[in-house]
Amino acid sequence: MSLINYSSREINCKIVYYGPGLCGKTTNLQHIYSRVPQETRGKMISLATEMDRTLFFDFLPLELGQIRGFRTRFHLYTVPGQVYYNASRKLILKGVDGIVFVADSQIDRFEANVESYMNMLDNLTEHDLNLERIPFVMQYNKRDLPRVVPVDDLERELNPRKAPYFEAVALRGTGVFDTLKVACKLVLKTLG
Amino acid sequence: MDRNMAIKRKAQQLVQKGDVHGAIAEYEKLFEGGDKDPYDFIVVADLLAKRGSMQEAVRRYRQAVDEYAKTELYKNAIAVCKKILRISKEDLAIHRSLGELYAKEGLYGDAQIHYLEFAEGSIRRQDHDAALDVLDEVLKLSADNFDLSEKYVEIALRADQPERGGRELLRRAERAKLTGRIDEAEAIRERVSTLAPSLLTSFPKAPAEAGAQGAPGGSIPPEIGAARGGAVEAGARAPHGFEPSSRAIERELATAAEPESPVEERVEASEGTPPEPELQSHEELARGYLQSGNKDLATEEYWKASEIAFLRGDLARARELLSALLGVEPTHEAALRRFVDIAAQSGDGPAEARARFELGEVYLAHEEWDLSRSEYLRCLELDPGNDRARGRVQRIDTLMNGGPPETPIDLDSLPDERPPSSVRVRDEETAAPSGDPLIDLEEIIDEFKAGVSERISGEDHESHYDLGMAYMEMGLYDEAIGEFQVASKGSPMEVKCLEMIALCFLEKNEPASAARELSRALELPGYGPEETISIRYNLAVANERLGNLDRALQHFEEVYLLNVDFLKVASKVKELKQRVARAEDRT
Repeated sequence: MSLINYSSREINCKIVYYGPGLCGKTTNLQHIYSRVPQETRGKMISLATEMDRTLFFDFLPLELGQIRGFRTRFHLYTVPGQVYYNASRKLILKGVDGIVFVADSQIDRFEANVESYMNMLDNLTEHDLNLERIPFVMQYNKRDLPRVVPVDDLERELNPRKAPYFEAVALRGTGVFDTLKVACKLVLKTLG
Repeated sequence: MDRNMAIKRKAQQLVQKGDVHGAIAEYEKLFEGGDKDPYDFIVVADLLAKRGSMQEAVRRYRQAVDEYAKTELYKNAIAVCKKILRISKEDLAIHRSLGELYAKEGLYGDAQIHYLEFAEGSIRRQDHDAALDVLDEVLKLSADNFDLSEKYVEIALRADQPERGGRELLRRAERAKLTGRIDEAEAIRERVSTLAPSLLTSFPKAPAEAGAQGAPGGSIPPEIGAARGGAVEAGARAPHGFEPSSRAIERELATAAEPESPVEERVEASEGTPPEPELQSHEELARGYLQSGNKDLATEEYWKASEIAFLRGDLARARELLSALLGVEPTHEAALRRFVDIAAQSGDGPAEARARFELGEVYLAHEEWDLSRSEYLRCLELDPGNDRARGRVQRIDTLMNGGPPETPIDLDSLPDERPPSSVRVRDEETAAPSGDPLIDLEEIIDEFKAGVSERISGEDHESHYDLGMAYMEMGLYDEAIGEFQVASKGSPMEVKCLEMIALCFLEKNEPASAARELSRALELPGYGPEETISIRYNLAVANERLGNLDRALQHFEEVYLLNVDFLKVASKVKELKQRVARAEDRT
């Protein structure tokens, strides 16, 4: 649910990048941060553990113009991917306006994707949220690596409701903005 | 696959219930079934470490390292190695693994540090063979490290392997010969003649005219290709004991920067000339390779030399070397990137613009549309008259979108700023009393807040405000209030911060505090009715919750007078009037 500050006339929308550990969620945000003009973004808050894993969440505020006189700000979050940080993931999903699921295309991460996807559904249910009613974009990341699962297989398993999907190599920026743009558009649609 | 999923789900449920033993037992079933997912190994290793089974944990971490390395995910493997080192500081072998992994990542400095750690440990354990094996690797990466070469010879002698030491000396002799230092080569050969005379029969004396400049590429002995000695033969005994790796590397760098003093340190009974800095050796080799027509090796040597100069902060020298490299290989992406960095750091806009254009060309050739477009745009910022760059952008836009980008995301001004590096916060593993049985969420939040406070200064009002919004969106109202309070101090955002604080108090069901903050906001000077309309509205809501219906109605009416359509205020006024009337009737 978008947060609105009327005195400053701004709408804040929350997009969460979800996915298994090491799938490239933070890399997505880092690429976005590095490519958007400074005046449209706030500081990226990204704290990592010594294992280079996300601590709690990454956060990147973006301002992408105005709707009916209200500044529209998108708050991009990532969740920590490790299995045992579920409490953090659940918390971060609270009030989510849109979700990008970043799947790791590598064959040996297939199950991790499925597991994370199911975990996301569980956590949404706990917030009384239904993926059917939330703007959702699928990103198949790491397409440049050898031994990747064909997109059709990923689609069948992870994207049964045929949400928009993009192939990506987040490390090089490929597909990162395509994903973001569609996620933002879908969220904006829900604002009416 | 289904079986594995079921096992994992069960294991996770057990983790969430705090049953670490049960979860580990479940994961073990996965491994028995042939599962080799490195991530699973890490999860189990983490659980084992929590349980205190450190040796077992290390074994599983190692398996994760091996699996990551097999799939060339070296960074992941390195991260896991570091984790092993944290819990098992004496694990010598892990340094060797780290050396290999860093070398595969091309991070030779880090590779050397860990190789040398391993070598030092091996020497302490009297395992000279292992030390020599790993020093072979280091010498491939740092062929001109005189101290290291001497140490190698010393260890070989200690290990009663004079031939191995002799071979190292011959390698240096060949290098000296290759770079035209014939006298040095001869001096080294003299040493070999007393150390391991049999070796000299397999390495016949070279004619004096076979110097570096004249050395044809094909005549370079194979061992020189990988290992390139170049230090001067000192003929002196190296000091006893092994120099700690970090110091050795510092010295190596210092040697290059200040060629005078290290000679005194190194050479007790020197017969030779000062040792040649590594950078210079790489450069000479590059020239040698170039003359013999081997462009690939020349490029590699120029790159190494330029990186040494760059890391040492000698930007002018690095730039000079990069220019030479790009003369040989104009599409060397890393070199172009480095050139851009250096030009930017030096404030040389025209050079940066040219390099960015070339970088754009490289990306364009690889169909990296986003990247190439970004580089052309940066080039245009620096050199607005560059029609070629403008034409490229138009071409890419046509290719990508059928026209210029329509989305509100403006890629036209890419910032120089790199993403701020992550604050490293230790991932302490704790048993958790709340929420998740294994991970204490409150502790994570505290850790996160501590990390953030290191990163964001009190004056960075915008970032504190954004963070407040982030916490608020998660329902962490106390944390949000804290951030908004910091953001509001002495900042032009005070009104909106006070409003957000009030909204947090309302969420916390503390309407009195909310009303207090909103009243403060209304008292601030310089804000017109339009800017304070929502504050009045929320003040009405707070008063309504407090049961102050008259005041609530008064504020709703103020809002109504300003904007009848604001958040259905008309119906609120009507409803409140009815309630007030009913209350009056009762009294």
